[in-house]
Amino acid sequence: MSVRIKEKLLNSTVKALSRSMDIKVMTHVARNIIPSYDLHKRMQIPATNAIPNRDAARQIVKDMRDWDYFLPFICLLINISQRGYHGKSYSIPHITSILHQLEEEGLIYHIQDQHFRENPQIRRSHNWGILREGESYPFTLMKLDFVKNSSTVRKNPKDLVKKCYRVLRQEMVDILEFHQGRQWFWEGDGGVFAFHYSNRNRSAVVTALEIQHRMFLFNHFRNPLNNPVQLRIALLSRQSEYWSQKGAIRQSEVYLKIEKQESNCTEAGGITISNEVYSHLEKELARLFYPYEKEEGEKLYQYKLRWES
Amino acid sequence: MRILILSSQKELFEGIPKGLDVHLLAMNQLDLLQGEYRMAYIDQMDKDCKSQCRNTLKELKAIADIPWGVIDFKRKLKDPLELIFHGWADYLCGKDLLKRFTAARLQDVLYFHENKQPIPLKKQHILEGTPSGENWEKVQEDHEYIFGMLYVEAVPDKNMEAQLGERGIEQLQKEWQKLLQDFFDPWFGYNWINNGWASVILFPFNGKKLHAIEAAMEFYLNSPIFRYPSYTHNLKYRQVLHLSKTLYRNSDNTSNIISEALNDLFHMGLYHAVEGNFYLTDPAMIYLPESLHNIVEESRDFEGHIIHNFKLPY
Repeated sequence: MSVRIKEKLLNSTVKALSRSMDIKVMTHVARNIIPSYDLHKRMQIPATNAIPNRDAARQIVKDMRDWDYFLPFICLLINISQRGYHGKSYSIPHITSILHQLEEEGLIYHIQDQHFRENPQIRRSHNWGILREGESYPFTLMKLDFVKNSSTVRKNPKDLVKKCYRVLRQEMVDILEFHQGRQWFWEGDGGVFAFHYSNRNRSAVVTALEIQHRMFLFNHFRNPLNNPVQLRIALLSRQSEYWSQKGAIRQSEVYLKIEKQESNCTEAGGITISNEVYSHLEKELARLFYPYEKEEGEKLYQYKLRWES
Repeated sequence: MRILILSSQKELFEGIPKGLDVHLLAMNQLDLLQGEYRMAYIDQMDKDCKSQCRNTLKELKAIADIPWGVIDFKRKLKDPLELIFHGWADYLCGKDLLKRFTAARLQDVLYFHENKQPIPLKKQHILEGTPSGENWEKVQEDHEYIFGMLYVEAVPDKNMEAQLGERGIEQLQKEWQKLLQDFFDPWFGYNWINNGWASVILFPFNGKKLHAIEAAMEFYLNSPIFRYPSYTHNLKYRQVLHLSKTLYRNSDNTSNIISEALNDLFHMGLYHAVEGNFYLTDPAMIYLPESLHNIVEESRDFEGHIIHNFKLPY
């Protein structure tokens, strides 16, 4: 879901841009986001003709909005207002008002990460409100699958199985969203969750652990079925393209890889993580995982809840 | 309660629960018997109890006239019930028999041996008070109810105070208290008494299921990975879950409550619980699903309470 840019926010941004820099600089700034950006071409005005500052700013801001680059553009303006641009400082008015209006839309600017995060109480979108279709980003993906689903369905009333899976899935999504992850899709007895923010490996691992612990407790305290319900969870960290559609996600290289990891290398009730995920963990988390080589050349680590004897 | 074990295989008894007062002697050390014992066990390897079990018991009663049980690591006896018919008090078998050698079992053995009656259901005993309910709807101030009571304490790193100063610690304690409230809220847990790092979370109890166990176990399992988003310091936790009755008053008004249960709980938490561990008292243990009994390690007597310790997850 793209962010809704209201007219008031658009106007504030136009004012901020037109009152802080000239056309040459603002075009230069726009080219940081879209390298081939040509203001005269966009306005259908010959290159030799002058353009009023405010009209130029309006065109740039509108283009940023229409091409889904509004938030990266705002991040860049914030950066310029704090650190200057090419050695020169710029005082950009209305930045506070812009941030306030975005907060109302459920987006909070994180100074440390230098980008926007969704306020989960207001919005939780598939792309965290900031990712663009087809562009490449760093992700940690989680593939989950209920083990021996068909056997569970055979042994239990269909409706009861459905109800259990619905309850468990909701509990999993609650844990996921607490850790800023997003459900990309769910199909039958499995799905894909994704993590994107800077601490994505840690968040993904903690989410996976909490989910497996919840499953363990569900089986002992609340499971009305005739057999335990078990999950396999695989985690993989990669730079990959963002797609909102299930079909496109399923065709991506990263999906094929994580699906293989989940179905071929992960034990029931276990979590496997790729070497890259493992290498980003602090030692308290890393010590929970042990090396687990099931496929040649692929170094994995696994966790399975065990009890000291 | 002092227990005598006669066995020449001393090395097999190394894992005996530390909380039990056990005097282990070989058969040729009978001159070392000291004081009074509440019960005794003989190792089947030292004295064959298979045949002539009545005579063997007579011999042993001459050593100490107390209830005797048989310990049989190698499962030599095919019909152990015969022992009971002939006056023996207990039979423990298998390589892992020490896991079942608990204070709770010994109490049950003695009760049955002396009364020849089924052990009374502890559940019924506990339910003598008024259950507090499924949630907080019917709980009224100044009334007494049965609650699940979780003592939970964070044990900060020794250097933390020096690193953070008084204000930093206060801030961290606030976060800790909020974490507790947020975490236990879905199970209707109420951060009832909080004293810096130590808290008592009160859970409604409907008389049938103690949901607090699931909540406390989830906390226990997740504690090694716990860090609230703003949390940057490692804390270890100790937990004791008790089920008992107490007078209820809201959180601001608890200082003048005189409650034996609360007093006992704080004692168990402060003087018995070890950091990183989770304990259930006997009344709460009744509500632990049987499928989880294999992860309860041992039981100990502490100030009149039998406390069960969970194994450590890893």
